[in-house]
Amino acid sequence: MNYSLEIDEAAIVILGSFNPALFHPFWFNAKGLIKPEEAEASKIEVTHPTLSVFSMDWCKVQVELERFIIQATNPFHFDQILDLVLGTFTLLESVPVKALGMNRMMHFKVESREKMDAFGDMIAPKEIWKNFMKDPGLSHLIMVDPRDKAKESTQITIQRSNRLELGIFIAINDHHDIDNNKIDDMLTILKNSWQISLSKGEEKAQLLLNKVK
Amino acid sequence: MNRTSLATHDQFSTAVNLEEFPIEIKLLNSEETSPSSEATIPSAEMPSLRVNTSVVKLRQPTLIPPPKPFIPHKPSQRFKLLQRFEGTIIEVSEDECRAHIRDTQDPDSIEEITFSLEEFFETDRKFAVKGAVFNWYLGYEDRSGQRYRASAIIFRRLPVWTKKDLEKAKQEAQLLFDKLGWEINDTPGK
Amino acid sequence: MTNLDGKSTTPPESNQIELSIFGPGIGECIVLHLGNNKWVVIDSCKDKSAGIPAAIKYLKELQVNPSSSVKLFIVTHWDDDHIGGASEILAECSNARFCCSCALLSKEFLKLTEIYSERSLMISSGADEFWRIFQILLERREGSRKQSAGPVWAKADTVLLETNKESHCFDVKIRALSPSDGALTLAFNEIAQLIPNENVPRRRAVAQKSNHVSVALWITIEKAHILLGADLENHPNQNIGWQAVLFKHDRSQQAAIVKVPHHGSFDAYSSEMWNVMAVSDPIALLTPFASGVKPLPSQSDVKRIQRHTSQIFCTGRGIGWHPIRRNPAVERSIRETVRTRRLIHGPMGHVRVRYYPNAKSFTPTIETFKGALLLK
Repeated sequence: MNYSLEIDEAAIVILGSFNPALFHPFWFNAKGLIKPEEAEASKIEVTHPTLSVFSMDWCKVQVELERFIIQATNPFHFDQILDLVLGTFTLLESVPVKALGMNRMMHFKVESREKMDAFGDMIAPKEIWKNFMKDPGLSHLIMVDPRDKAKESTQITIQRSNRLELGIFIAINDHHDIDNNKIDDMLTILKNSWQISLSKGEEKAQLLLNKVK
Repeated sequence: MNRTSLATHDQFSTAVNLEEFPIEIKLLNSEETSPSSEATIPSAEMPSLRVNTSVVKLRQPTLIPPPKPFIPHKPSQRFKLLQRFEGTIIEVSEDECRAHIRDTQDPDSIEEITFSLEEFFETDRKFAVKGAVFNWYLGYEDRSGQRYRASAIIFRRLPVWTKKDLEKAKQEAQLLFDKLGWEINDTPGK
Repeated sequence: MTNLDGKSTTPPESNQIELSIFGPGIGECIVLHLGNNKWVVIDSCKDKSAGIPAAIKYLKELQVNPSSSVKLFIVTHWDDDHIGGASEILAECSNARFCCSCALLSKEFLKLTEIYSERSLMISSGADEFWRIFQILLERREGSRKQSAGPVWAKADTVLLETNKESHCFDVKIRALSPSDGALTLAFNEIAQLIPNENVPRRRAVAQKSNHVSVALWITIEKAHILLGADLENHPNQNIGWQAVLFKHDRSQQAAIVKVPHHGSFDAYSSEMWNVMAVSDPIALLTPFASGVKPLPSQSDVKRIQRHTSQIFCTGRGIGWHPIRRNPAVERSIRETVRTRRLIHGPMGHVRVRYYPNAKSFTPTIETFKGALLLK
């Protein structure tokens, strides 16, 4: 099957205990983590004790009481979000963190509806569903590894793309629980695993897509 | 499902989904007042932005409250990456940089390039020093129905060395030195 | 001297000495056969087509088992171009003693390797490679081979390997000529200065000019001598560099084969070294250094060496190669951005010298492979 990666995004999600009001573009600039021009051009959507949301040209940041999310909207900026997270949490060394997630979200354009259906049939065979459904189709599929709760796990989500006509969306999440809320451990995992998570994520997606001839 | 996953679900689905909760936030302009709790962001540069939290609505779930949904950023332009190099600056002269670049897919292949310092944004030029690391991305940008060739040289904004980092390295080095038990007059090989 | 078309995978005979030098444009490696399938590896560079160190690739092509046959692995300097893939060589050559400059026996250098071993930067540097070497040495120390775990710290006059006819087919001695005591003191200070200060942004460690700590070697096999000049240069202080080496050298001994120091550069040239430490018209081997404003060796560097020998073999031209062509859109963007561009890590040139040490006269065969050439 011919396919092409059309929309490629990545995000880092950290679970812990945060003060959303702190995460303001001018705070990031004051700490030397982003440029003054970036802070001035940023678009602030919400700043509140329980929620902070702002975006810059190259990323969007959303901070809740228990979750920190930064998303890069194009592959040119994957390393920039890594650097921003490393810089931020190097400064916030006493913030308790519980888990780290490295996410890659990819939208692939496929050559035809038939090929897209063939992909859906391959990962979720329809025969059993036809016993009581007229025209079953795959909406979305989530696979986790390992099955039972573990400190480290991978989750792959597959569904039809909502941003491409004739597109398949594949998201890979590499999740790590952090022992004893230690930021240093989280930063070490992030430094050592970010590039690998991104490249392996793409490999896994291609492996699945290549199964359809 | 991993709580660190960001996979977004089909926005057309009507199925109840624990992750899909719209937050309605009414932003007040500076003239409006609100009787309920407000949050004001003090900033010398920016006017006060007040949020009326009483307007925030959450559709109550039948199960435990989920985390607030992440509303993805959907920019109007799209980038298609064709090539990425990682580079290190090895020499800087008045108006030019000399750098070694490696294809991230084939890191053993090293190219040496020179380019003008004007390839960097003005305020970034101070980062162009020996040893500085940058990424060079090449590809296409699709914007408003037009495709453009895109090339961006972006410095890595790596965190600074902190006192803690340097102290940790010193301790690890001492530990390694002790474990290795080296003495200067080790016997020669036979 | 001959340039044979024979395949490079023919192993040497057990009573034959071989010195092979590899250089891909940036980086060098020497592989030395001492007879009876005993090998020594000096420095490391990666063969990019194979993705493994050139020494390992070559030994395996000769059907030599690196883990049993390599007895000594010497890293003469911690510059990136001497150490690419060195940790892989050490891991593979599990019975080889490891040897490096005494200048690296310091907590400051260990601290430097700890600092730069971080993986947030994708591509490893010399310091990172050394960190991995130390981890392997630690595993060895904690494992079953504690006797051979420790490195040999080389400084002037350290004997790194010695055999005689009772244990081996030939009398062999490998001795370090440098670094001198004066160079060591300088080196310890220089390494300490490379340690970053607080609040300085993380960068890649780019090796400074500290070639005076590199390990030049004097090899004696039976009655013949080989001089491997590493990157050793001259220095204003006569207790450092080639002057310090010449001061101690036994002038009755002269090398028939010379690995030209530091790619033939002017800073590493010493006419006294050639006159005193080498025979007339020795075999000179060198590797190019294709990086920088002035790649090495330049035409004038070659002319300078030609005062001493007509037999200068280089593993490549040193001016770099054309980069591989990529996607046309990428090529257009690159052309619009750069002023100059060249590939500096190219095909792995190889020069091989073999001879019989017990022959009546010194009649080596010299072969060149993959772009290596005689410089005229």
